Amino acid sequence: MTFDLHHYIMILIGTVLVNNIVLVKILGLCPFMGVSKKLEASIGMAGATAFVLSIGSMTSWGINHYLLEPNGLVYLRTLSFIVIIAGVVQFTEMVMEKNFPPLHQALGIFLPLITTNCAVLGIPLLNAQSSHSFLESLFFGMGGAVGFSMVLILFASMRERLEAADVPAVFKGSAIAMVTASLMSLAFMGFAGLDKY
Amino acid sequence: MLTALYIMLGLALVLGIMLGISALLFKVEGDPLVARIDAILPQTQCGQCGYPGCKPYATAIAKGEADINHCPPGGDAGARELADLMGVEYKPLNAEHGLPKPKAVAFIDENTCIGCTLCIQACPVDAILGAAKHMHTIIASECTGCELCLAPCPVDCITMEPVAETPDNWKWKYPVIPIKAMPADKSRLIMNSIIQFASKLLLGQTADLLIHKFHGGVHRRGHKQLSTTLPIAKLAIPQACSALRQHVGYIPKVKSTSR
Repeated sequence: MTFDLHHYIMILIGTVLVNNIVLVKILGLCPFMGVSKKLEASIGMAGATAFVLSIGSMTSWGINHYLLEPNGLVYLRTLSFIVIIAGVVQFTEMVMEKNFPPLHQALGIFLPLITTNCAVLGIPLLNAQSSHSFLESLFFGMGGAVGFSMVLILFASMRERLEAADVPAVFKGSAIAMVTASLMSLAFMGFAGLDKY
Repeated sequence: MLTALYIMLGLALVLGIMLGISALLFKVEGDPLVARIDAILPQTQCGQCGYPGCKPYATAIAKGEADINHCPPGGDAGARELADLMGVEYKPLNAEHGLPKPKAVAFIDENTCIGCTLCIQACPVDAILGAAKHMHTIIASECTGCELCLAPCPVDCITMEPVAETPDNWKWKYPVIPIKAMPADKSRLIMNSIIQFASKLLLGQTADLLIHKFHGGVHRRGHKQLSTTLPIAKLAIPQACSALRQHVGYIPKVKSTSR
């Protein structure tokens, strides 16, 4: 089997832009809305989630391929993936508390909540569903991570500007954020079909 | 059925062992943020910030309860450093907590002292020596200049004496050149913070090592003596030379830094 670079680049473009995990698949909305108020915190969150997503998609591929499928235990996917993700998140939190204490403080409760982030669980499940190979799931996971980080940072920069905007009283706060997010989602629909060539 | 149980058990066991090991590797003593804030504070324990000491104030800053500009002894430089650490905007010192004063130590006029021990009880750093109905005196090297002993003295025999400049505490008076901030370019700021974060993430603490700590490099505070104690390069001894006097340059005493 030769290494088909074109195929992997298409997977990357597909997950980053066309099927963006947040804006098109509508997964992982809680950190997208919760941690996007400050740019710095959102960059930290993006880094942490990207790390967990990449590691999580690799390890869960291994578990799925070597443990669950040979034994006919496909029904254990969700459960075992959550266990793995919880472990990786705990590890990330330890590293962050030691090395970046201000960032750890800024992320607060959202850091352990990566465990229940649907994007982080969704990517390994989608990987297993479409029976990706190891490299494919790695690229799928990295693409999801890059897509999530990019959209989160873009959205946070936009919300910092929204703070200064003259918003009608009824739309203030989460409402205008939702409207902005949906407009972003519409914009990302424009990428549809980019991965077909 | 049993295989499922075994697999989940094995998974949990492996993860548990790995997490246990990494918990030992990445152990954090206390709250690292509080310790870092506390290191910046001047440790006068004067309570001018409204908290009973430097550590409680540091804890309050870390929790986000207190602002960074409540410490007059720390001065402007302290507020700037705190703003830097906490990632917030610098604010000038809040005047209602007092204004920075030149460093001073308390002095007890021993002719007037009645030996009431009230000042000993007030001193946060145990810098006053004495006993009931015996004359008290201040251990000048321990006194932080917090002025907490002034108020309880019934005979007002304690005064604050400014610390005289001695060769031990004298510092170079560098010319101060104000640095103008470049016009804020938002996109550049964002890119900068991304790059900084990425390099921190990739290199971790080695980034510090690469920029500041190598011999002959640009050293920041705390690593200044790295290049002064060792020659940057060694020259071969020339064949013929007239020895005048061995001279290795100025070697400062390396003080053990607590940070």
